[in-house]
Amino acid sequence: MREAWFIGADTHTVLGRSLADNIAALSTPPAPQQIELRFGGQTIVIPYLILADQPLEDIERRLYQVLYAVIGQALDEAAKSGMTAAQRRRMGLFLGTSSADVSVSEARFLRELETSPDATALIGSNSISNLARHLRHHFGLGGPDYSFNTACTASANALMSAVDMVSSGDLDHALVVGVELCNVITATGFQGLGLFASQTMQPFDQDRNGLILGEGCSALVISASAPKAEGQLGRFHLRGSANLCDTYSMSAANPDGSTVAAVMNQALARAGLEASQLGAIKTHGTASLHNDESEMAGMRQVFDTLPPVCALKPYIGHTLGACGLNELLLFCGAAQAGFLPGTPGIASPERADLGVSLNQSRLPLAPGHFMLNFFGFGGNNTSLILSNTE
Amino acid sequence: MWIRALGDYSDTVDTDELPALRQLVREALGAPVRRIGRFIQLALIGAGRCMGEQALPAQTAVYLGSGRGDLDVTLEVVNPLFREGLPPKPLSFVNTVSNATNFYIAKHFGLAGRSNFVCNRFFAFEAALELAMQDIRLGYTDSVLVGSVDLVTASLHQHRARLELPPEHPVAEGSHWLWLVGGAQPEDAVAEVQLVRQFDDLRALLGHLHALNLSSERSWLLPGNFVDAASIAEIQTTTGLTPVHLDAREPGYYDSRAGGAISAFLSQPDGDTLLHINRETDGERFCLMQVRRISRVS
Amino acid sequence: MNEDREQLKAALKELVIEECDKDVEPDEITDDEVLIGGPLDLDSLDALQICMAVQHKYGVRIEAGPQARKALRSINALSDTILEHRPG
Repeated sequence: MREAWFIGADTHTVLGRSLADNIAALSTPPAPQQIELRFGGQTIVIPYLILADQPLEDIERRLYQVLYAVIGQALDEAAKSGMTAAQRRRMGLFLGTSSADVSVSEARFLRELETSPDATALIGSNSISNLARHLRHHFGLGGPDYSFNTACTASANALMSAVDMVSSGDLDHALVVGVELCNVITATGFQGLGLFASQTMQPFDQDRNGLILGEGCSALVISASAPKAEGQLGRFHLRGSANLCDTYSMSAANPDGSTVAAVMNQALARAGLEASQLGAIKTHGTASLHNDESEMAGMRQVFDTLPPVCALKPYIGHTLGACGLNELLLFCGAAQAGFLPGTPGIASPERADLGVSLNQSRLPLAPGHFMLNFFGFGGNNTSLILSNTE
Repeated sequence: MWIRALGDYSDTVDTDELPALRQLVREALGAPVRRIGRFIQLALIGAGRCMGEQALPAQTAVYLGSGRGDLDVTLEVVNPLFREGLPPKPLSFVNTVSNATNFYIAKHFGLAGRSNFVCNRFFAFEAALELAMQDIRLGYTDSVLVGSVDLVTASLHQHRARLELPPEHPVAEGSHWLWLVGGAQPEDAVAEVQLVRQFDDLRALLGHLHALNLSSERSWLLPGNFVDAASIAEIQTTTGLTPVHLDAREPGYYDSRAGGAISAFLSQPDGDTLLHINRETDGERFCLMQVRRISRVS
Repeated sequence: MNEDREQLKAALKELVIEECDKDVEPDEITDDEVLIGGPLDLDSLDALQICMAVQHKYGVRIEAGPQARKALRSINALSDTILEHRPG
């Protein structure tokens, strides 16, 4: 198996328009904005962590503007790292998203309904794969495209398959993209499930009261060739990974922790590591009691002594299908800068009600092996082991 | 890698009254399943027919491909939301995640293996099979239930508009499944999937086919629903293989019709090897599925 | 009033069957059987679905948490909740 290098990356979240801006902002979780959404004669106001410097305007074009900038930046960095134009034309695209271009088709449908009550829904775009095709054409990518739609693990699963194809020799380069932008279906759907928090997400905290949706877009270029010079993610690579189905419930992992433990153990085995060798854990941490209980029970079964534990959703919100890649880039970028992010006041030792507290402030972090966990609706659990050491 | 079982559902839809599937689910699985729409019903019918009475190992993975995904549940949410301001019903909203289908399949068969959903407009079934084979090769699993599903939405007029098909073009829906295993050839294997691979362009595909040096009588060259006549003619000239033309209008258009190719090949007596060739209509890529029949002395 | 209540209970059984996609007849559901986690085998997603349908049809909003747990104890409890909070 070949090495799969991370040679170009960029991310855009509420924290900022570049990976560096995001890393710099990992000290105090931002407060969500109250945004207005209009549909079918109704207006609702909900909390949302909206992309920095990208107002909710011109929705039919906004998605593409965001994607072009983030992917363009990641491809530029990859080019500086040595990826040639010919290699770029053959690279594979691995898109992980929940809502894909739903924001665009919603805006179009709303616009058409204004003039014609007979307007047909889902006319412009009605396949998740259409967004991948759009991106391939825009960036001149002639390689294969795969669009993963497995709820909140989608871009983590996209990354797994991309790394596997590069390390097995099927592809020399892969572009992994995670994207999730504000849309009415997602917002009203989560509201209907009663899952919204009123302020910052507080996973594993006694005052947890649900999630805040976040917008995010990330891109990562993976290469079989070592970069000419060390980039933003240094020597980070995916050392092991696992994805398993959990049939306990459509909307929650098994609260006994067994299925969460199974996917963590399989990822460790594939990485050739013992739990005791990990330097930190990034939790999924959606701040619903169900998730927190399952996740905590799973961690306790796998780890005799837990390493420092962090959560990133308080910073960027739940970016759903994109959270895999968004949180991976934030975590690896921070680790590369030498620290583990903390969430001040959230699940501190006094406030953690499940017996495990979250790291509270920036903690120095040496190169090592780290576990990043993601769990999705429809019983989809993924555990990734990232390393920036041998 | 070996195919131990196959199962299909495909049917033309020619009225706005879409076929009721509840009873077929019950027949295929031996029990009713509630809280699911037509997309998941189609998947369960195909997977249930594939496995019949057989059990699957608990670590079996489920890989599902689709050209469009569950348009039905999306419309069930979108229309009331934007026309009348009604929020998504919880049970509909949770089923808008595409892997909800995998959940119901894994639950029915008692599976705890990997679960993946991949969308690709032109190679939906092929992409699922390609990723499943990669996982077997890399040792993630040695047993995968692989399938594809695409459905028809009402009205047919709107469905054709969404799919950019001409008025009156026949439309269909289909669910195609196979049980794929790695390792040594099992006694009950019906076919070997020798290769599923995408090629950058026709030239690369021709190079591969030429090197195979296959006999024309023993091979079934089956053009997929997206491949153009000129490319097939060129393949014929270069390799000497003669294309088998199934009626392209039967049972009607759906993206992942390639999912039915392996069954179609195995259900008739001719040929040792299936070469199913598809292409993307807005790009240069081709996809080949190469499957060898395993004949049994009866 | 009693007639109202009986009619409402019959309608609620229909609503539960419809919303939760259950393969039973209305008279198979008793007035006092436990709805969530009871003989009908309904779960928390069914509970959310029922609450949304009740809000839409009867204009009664049932808050998640203790109120929902109480209201969804049985058809009796659900009809009581609706009669108590029904607008107008």
